This record gives sequence, C-alpha cells and structure tokens, in this order.
Amino acid sequence: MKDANLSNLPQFDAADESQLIRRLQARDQAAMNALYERYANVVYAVAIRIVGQTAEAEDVVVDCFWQVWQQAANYDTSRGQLRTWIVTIARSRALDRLRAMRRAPVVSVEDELLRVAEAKATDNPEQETWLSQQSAQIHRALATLPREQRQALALAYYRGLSQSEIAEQLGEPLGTIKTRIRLGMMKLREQLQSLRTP
Amino acid sequence: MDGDKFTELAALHAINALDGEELQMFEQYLRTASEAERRELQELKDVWATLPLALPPTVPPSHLKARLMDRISEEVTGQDASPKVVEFSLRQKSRGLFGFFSWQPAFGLLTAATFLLAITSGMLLWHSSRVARERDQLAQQVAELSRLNIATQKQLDDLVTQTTKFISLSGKEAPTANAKVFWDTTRNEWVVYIFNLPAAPPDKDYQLWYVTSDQQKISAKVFGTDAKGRTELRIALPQNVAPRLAATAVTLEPKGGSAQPTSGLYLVGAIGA
Repeated sequence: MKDANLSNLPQFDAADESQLIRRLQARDQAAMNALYERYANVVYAVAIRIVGQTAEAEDVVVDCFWQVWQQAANYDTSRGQLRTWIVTIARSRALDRLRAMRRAPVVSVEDELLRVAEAKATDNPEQETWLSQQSAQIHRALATLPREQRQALALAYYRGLSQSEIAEQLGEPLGTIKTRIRLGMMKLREQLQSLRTP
Repeated sequence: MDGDKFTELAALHAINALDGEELQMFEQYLRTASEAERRELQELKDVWATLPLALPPTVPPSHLKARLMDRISEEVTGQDASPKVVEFSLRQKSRGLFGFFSWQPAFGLLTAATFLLAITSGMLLWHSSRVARERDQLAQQVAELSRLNIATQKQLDDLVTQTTKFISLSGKEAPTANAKVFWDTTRNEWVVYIFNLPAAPPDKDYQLWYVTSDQQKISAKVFGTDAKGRTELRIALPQNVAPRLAATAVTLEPKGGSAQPTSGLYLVGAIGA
C-alpha cells in the first residue's frame, strides 16, 4: 500500500515532461498512456474532493485527459509546467460538474486543505518514508499558514468560489479575504520554491 | 500598478478568485505587463496547481484508462482511414509510363491491392461515419438524460427537504386509489401525486379539499385524471388555511366543482403535527 502510494506520486523531470508533451503533440498514444499513469491519481483525487461522488469523478478524469489529448498540439511549454496545466484542467472540469449537479458535494470540503495539513504535518519519520518528499513539503507549507488563510484558499480551490463569494460565505469583509489569500499564496510560493524549479 | 497591488491581484487571479471590475482591469493590465510580472503570475499559478499533491493519491478504477484509450483509438482510427488511400493513389500516378512498363507484373497486383484497399477503406469510412452518427445520437441522448437527471434531482431536492411534510391518502369509495402529498412548509406549497382513481363520468370532476381542525371544508383544486386515473397537482396553500389544516380529501363532484363536498370520500389523509 505504501509503495503503491509512493510510486503513484508524480515525479517532475523537465526534460522528461518536455519529451512527453512532444510525443503527445505527435499523437503518440503510448505517451498518453504514460501521462495517464503519471497523473491519473492526482487528477482523480482532485475530482473526488471537488465533486464528492465517484461516478462523477470518473467522468472528470476521462474528460480531463481527453481535453489534454485534444489540446496537446496547442500546449506551449513556456507557459508553465505540464502538471500545472493538467491539474488546472482537472479542477475546471470538476467544478463544471459540481455546478451542473447544482448541489454541494457530498463530502464536506470547506476546510479540506486545513484537514489535510493537520493530518499530515508531522515529523513522524515513518510517514515521511512513504509520503513523497514533495507531498510532505506541501503538507508542511500548508501547516504553516494560519487557519483563516487555508480556509479562504480551500473555498477557492474546492468550491471554485470568487473572492466576493468567499467573503459572503465567511461573513468577512472583502478586503480581509483579499489579504488572507495574498498572504497565504505568498507564503506558499516562498516555501514551495524548490518544487517550482524542476 | 504598483508591485504590492499587482501581487495581490495576481494571487487572486492565479486561484481564479478575482471577479467583477478588478478581473477586467487586471486582465487588461496583463496585456502590457512586464516579463517579470508575467513570471510572478505564472509562479503563483504553479503553486496553486501544486496544492492537490497534498491530497492522498487516489487510484482510479482500472476500467477508466481503457475507456480513455478506446476513445483516443477511435479518434485516431477515424482520422487515419481516408488519407492513406489518397496517398497511395498519388504515388501510383507519379511512377509514369516507364514505371508502368517496367513494373507491369507487379502493377497488376498493386492495382488489385489498391482496388481492394479502396473498397475496404470505403467500407471502413461508411462504417466509421455510421458509428460517428450513432455516437452523435448517443451523445444527444446522454445530454438529454443528463438534463432530465438534473431536472429530476432538482425536483427531488425541492420535494424532500428538512421542512417537507408527507401525507398519504386512501379511501373507501376507490379502494385501489391512493395519493401522496409533499408539503413544503417553508414555501407552503403542495405537490400532489394521485394514482388509480376511477374514470370520472363526463358530467363530474374530482375535487381536492382542505379540511380544517374545526371541520371546515375548503376547496383546494378541481381536477381530472388521465386514462389510468393519475394526475399531478401543484398548489400554493392559502396562508390562513395552513395553520388550521387537519386533513385533506378528494370527492367526486358535479362538473366544475362544488362549494361543499357532495359525495363520499374517494381519498382522505390526516395531517400530523
């Protein structure tokens, strides 16, 4: 179980990813297979967290990779990392589904980032051995944010709420929400700098 | 735009939380933003996309990959079928007369193979277009089912809320008939589903009544049914009636309804607290 989790976490090698995207652009189905193997777990995790239902989440996974296949020719490697592109598509498709379902997800995700961070932010070495270094680094970074900042970010991520909607939902002034998001993102950017440099 | 303001708006834009005039203004600004500003925004987007890696990886069902790859294979096959035939034909033409005489024995075989390939490709194309048509039809059906599903879900959501009361009706005059009333007590709306009422004579109508705790009978709706004795009624409950309701009932009345019930009870149901 632990090994499976470890091997399923994406690795970020820029040269490798560039080659992968070039093969995708050449309509290489084997490349699509490799891409799926690399990112399906993350895409599915995002989809499940957002839509809260496995059947809907499965459709999101297929829609996401289908969109990647269709739009690979237009993908510009200078615009950002491949994982950024894929996860952005996954989140967008999942939020589309959520809106089409016209209901809140079955699983409560309001404070998902908070819950994840609190559950995993640990110095337990055994846990570190099976969580990837990257994943553990993100947990640690999230854990350093005040709860209010994580909450605002979680509502944006998993519910697709705008700044005004977050302010309304939390009953806080818009300026407060802006500040929380800015501070939260700045802190995460600082702490996750090494992840952004493949 | 100063650096702090840019950073604030970039952080909000990176997580798609910017809205209203600020969104328009920022996107306009981005058209002329410096390379450093664009890089800062991209970095924030990368940070944002990194966050799901904190989620425990969740393994999707194995059939999903097959579903995706089948879809991709279908598309690739559909695109490849036609051009290959055209390319092959053109190559044959480019050989010229010399090629024709020097390769005559092989040419017969090639012609036969080309002919066979053309027929096979034609069949494949015909089959492919039929499959495409069927796929489009299925896609339309799926979209329609999805729309119906959403509508049904909404109907269910509307019907079954924490403030919904449920009333079941049955009666001696029509033992096989029954009805269900869903009462949204917040909006004071009734949705009534009636089943198996006997067909009303041409000069009669069914009539639904509110029965109050002091035994007043107030007309709620005059209605007919379909051939199977079914109907669905949506009724806005009068505000002065709702607090006094003790029961609801259905009687068979002269065409157009009566001021007070004149027949036995075809359906009746008590309303609990």
